[in-house]
Amino acid sequence: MRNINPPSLADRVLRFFLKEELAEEVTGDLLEQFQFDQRRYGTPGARFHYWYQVFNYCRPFALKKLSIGQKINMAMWQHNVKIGWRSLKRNKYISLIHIGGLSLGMAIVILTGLWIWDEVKYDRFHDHYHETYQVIAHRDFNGNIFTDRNMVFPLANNMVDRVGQLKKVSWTTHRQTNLFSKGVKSIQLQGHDVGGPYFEMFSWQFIHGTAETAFAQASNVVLTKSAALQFFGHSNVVGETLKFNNGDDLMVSGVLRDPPSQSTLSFDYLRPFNFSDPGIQRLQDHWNNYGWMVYFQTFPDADLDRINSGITQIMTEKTENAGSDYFGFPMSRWHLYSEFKDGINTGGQIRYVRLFGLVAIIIILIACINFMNLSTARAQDRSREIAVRKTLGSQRAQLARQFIAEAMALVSVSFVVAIILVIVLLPFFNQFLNRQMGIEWSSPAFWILSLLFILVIGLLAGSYPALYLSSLRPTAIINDIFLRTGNQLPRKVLVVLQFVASIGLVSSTIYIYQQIQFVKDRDLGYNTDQLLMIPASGKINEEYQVLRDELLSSSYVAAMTRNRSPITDIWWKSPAPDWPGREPGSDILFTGQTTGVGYSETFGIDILQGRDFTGSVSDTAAVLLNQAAIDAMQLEDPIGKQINYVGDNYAIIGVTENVVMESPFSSVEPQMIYYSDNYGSYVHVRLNQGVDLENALTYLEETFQSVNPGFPFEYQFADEEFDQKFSRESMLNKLINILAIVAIFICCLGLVGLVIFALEKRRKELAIRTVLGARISQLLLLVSREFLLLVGASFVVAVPLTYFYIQNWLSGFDYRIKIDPELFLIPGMLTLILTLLIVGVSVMANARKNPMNALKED
Amino acid sequence: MLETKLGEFEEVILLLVGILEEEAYAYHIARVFEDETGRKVSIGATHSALKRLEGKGFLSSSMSDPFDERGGRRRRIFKVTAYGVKTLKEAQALRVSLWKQFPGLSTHGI
Repeated sequence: MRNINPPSLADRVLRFFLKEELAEEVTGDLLEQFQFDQRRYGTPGARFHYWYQVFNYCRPFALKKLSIGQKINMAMWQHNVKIGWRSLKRNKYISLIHIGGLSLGMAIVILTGLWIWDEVKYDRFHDHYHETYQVIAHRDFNGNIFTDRNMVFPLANNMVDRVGQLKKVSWTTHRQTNLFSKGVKSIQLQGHDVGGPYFEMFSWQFIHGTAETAFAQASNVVLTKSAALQFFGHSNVVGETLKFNNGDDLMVSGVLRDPPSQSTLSFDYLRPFNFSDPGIQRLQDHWNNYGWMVYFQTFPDADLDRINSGITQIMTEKTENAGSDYFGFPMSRWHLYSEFKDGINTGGQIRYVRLFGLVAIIIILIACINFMNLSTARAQDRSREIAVRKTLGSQRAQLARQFIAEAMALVSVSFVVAIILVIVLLPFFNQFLNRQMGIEWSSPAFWILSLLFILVIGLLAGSYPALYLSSLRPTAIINDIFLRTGNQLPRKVLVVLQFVASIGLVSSTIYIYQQIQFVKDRDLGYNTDQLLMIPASGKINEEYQVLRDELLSSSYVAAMTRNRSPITDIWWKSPAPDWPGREPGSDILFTGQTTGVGYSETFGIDILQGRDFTGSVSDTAAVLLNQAAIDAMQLEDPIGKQINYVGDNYAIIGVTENVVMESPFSSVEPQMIYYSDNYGSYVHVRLNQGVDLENALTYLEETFQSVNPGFPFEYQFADEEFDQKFSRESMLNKLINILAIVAIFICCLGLVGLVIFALEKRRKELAIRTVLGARISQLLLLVSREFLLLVGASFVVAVPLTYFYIQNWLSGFDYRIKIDPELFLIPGMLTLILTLLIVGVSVMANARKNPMNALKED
Repeated sequence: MLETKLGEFEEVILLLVGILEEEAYAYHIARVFEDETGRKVSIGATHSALKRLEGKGFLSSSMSDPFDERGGRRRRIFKVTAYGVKTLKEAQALRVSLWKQFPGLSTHGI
């Protein structure tokens, strides 16, 4: 027989719940079973099975009788309820603070919880949520890795043929904007061209039409319900036709329910790739044209590493670029973990989920601490009751149960209030965050979580008074010893914790605000005022010269040019060009842009050296570099030097200042700007200073319509588009502001309660001092000294903690503020002033009472 | 109508106790149950049924001598009581009478 024993933890669990009298026979039986299983399954299997057997003894006949069960005494409980209720009524305001503070804290936690739930639910409506991946690549430029979702067109079909364990593969274009028309009604819709079994992979729901027939013909299009409604006013439109970009007719073959708000993918229409189109046919063996999204679905239990290396192998064979690492990015991470830096996933939205989770926990902790403090303070008020109960034979456990039960009752009431608060606040919250969140009343998960929440908070909030107060000796209480010498330290620690959290939140608010302002005030390298970005739809590129001559002759337009990407975005990233003196093997990630004439004039970008493009013949073999590129290439005297990009030579004719196009929080990457005199996807127009905007826009619309009939005139202002880049940070800032205010508020509520109790406790002392001639200011000093010390201690703890956290947060930005430690004084002073105010008002109110009343009592 | 007072599982357990005689304790009964019926059953479930049957008066039990392989622990050995035997017989009689009334099956009866 082998000498290995069954798991001892399982044994202890068993003994914990098993009746004493059954122990011998049961442990004996289980041991025999264990030895039998060892021969049958081997030790690990036997150990596992042992646990199974132990849990199977959780049956009514075998369980120990719970000691509480026997001792429930209705009369006693009625009595406890009555006493608890009376004590609540006696201190009405304190009770209000008690319940109000906790309710507010709970409401915040529930709201945050709903938001987190909303975030986590993203994309889960897809049936194949766990098996769906997007192909993305880490592209290595000499250690500078950037992560790219753009794939080549033929990859998907090659994956089907050559990579095992894949169930389905499909691929789509980027989201494109195209013009659809029905009669005179023209609307620009956004959507994808799609190849492969797309509808089998993604669970979009057909209202009309079916997934099988949706892409039967290349001229089919599937609309979302809201797109269909815009054109036809109803959704049953299968068989109707729409004109596409003022050209071919497309037939609607299906109508989909709109993608839900918790969907990473969104679109107005979907249509199949037209494989009979020569352009598409040529793409089928183009292995260097990146611009398609590729998705795959695996068989369950597929080996992702093998799939990844399979994809990488295909790409390595077909292209010379061996520096890329391809992998499947699971759908479960699309929303929350969408950001990569240097080839490592840096999270993304999950940072905010964690941040707000943390803040919510801090707030509920503050509220709980409040609750504990007030319960303790009140229980001290009830110390005589405790002493009497103990003298009459109450056991410690009974008293503890009483306090826990009282806490649970209060917490339950607070929870109901909190739910009402949430129902009232939710519409505002939804509007603020642009969401449609709601409480899922019918979901069992919600109720289970709520119950758990009440239990945990009740235990947390009731535990300290229950354990501490029930431990006191009755004689000590009766003699008032503990009131004078009792251990006040735990309560002080709790108060300090509260202040630490509040000071931390308020200072975070200040620094986050500072950082956002700092970046907003950043010198962008171009002028965002009066600058319009107009997508070059339809015939704008063909008729560009006519358009330009017409616009520049008007009094509205100061300058214009056309570019590959809008000024607020970068659409072109690539390895560095070759330059003289380049160290072999070194590589830099470059961004690219093209421009027509008028680059510096239209954007207001300074040319630091050399000149801008003038439209001369030589400009097609010329390039502008930004200062960051010159620095990275370590070029001295760059003007006139030649660089070589993808086989062609270009002369450097000018150096521009660094222009912030992508994230204003990051530093500007090296950029090369080429001259393109026949194409741009965006036209940029600079209006003259002081023109009447309304007239200017009417004029622009008429002019654009005249050269490009049938396409609506669309434009964005560069400054508005730029502000969009702050939307997330601005939202963060607003939310943290609100949370900081709530935290401070709850903290103050707690402080008010404590001060009132402190005064109550010392009312005789204060009355005697008043009678003997003490001034109010002396009393104030006396009472506030204790609280001021606590504030001071909190400040000392809070500053380094917050400093560390903010430092950490800021390190996520290239362009950031330096932490100015003096600003910590603001939350410090704020807390100090609030404390003084609360103590002051309470002492004044107390001092106005007749001291004789206090002395006459007892 | 005659009440059997026995569920199917209980009946099998009761029969096994009768078959196993001095070896009739929870672990062993569970193992033999598995061998005979091919169904898995936990010791806890068997034990629970045994206790229930004991409570109904069909079984009685006593502790055995200590066994070395059980770390010196004793076994609880169950025995079918006279009342238990009577109930088993009644249950069987009911079945037999029903089988006999089943047209087309009665010839293959028990």
